[in-house]
Amino acid sequence: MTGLVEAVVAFLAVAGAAFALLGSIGLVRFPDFYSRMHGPSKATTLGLACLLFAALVHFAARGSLSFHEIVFVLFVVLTTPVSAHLLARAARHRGLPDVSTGAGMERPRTERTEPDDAKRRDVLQPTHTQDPDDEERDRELDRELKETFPASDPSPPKHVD
Amino acid sequence: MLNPALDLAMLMLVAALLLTGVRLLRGPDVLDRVLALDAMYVNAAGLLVLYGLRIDAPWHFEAALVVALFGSVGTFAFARFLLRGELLR
Repeated sequence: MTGLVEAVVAFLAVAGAAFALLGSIGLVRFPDFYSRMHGPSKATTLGLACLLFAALVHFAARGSLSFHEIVFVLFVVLTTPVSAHLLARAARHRGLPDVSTGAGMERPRTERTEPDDAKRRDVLQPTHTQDPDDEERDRELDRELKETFPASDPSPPKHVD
Repeated sequence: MLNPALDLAMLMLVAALLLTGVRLLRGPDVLDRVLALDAMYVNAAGLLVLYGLRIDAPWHFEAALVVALFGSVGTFAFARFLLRGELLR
């Protein structure tokens, strides 16, 4: 009888650890975030459930049956999908690349690239052209400003401690 | 019979922890690191359960439960922060 219990506990423990290991391998090996989420959210949860059932069988066989393990399993099974759902929504919000549909792939966020010279010029140069009426109004405003404050220094004020 | 199997299972869980650590260090996005941290919490809870089995002590479940609770709460907080830009309004 104890041999059978030991065999069941050993099988459940090794199976649970194998599931957790598979989930972590998936976390490392999958190509994008959305597929990477599958490993920890399913395989690792099942692995932890197997480990907890191993503990449940082990301690029930020695007479101290408790419901801690079942509560723990329920907690993990309830919270893992919620956190995975939140993470997926955050990933959609951040626009992470998706390999299966190609969304977000044209601008890979995975590596930091040096800014292009052309793009930098785009940023530095004004995108709109000055309207001649606006220039005329600017000159008028400048004249008005100089008449109002004739002695004002055009240079920015120096920082004084 | 039981102890070598438990040792093997603990070794596999340590390998799983190392793999999640690889993903935690490699990134490439913040969310990958959050996910790796969540998986690390779950693996650590499993390792605690296995350790309790190995030394035949039933009081490690509370510690594992607290570890898993912290992991899920941390993941909620991170995901919410990355989604809304704020935790509490």
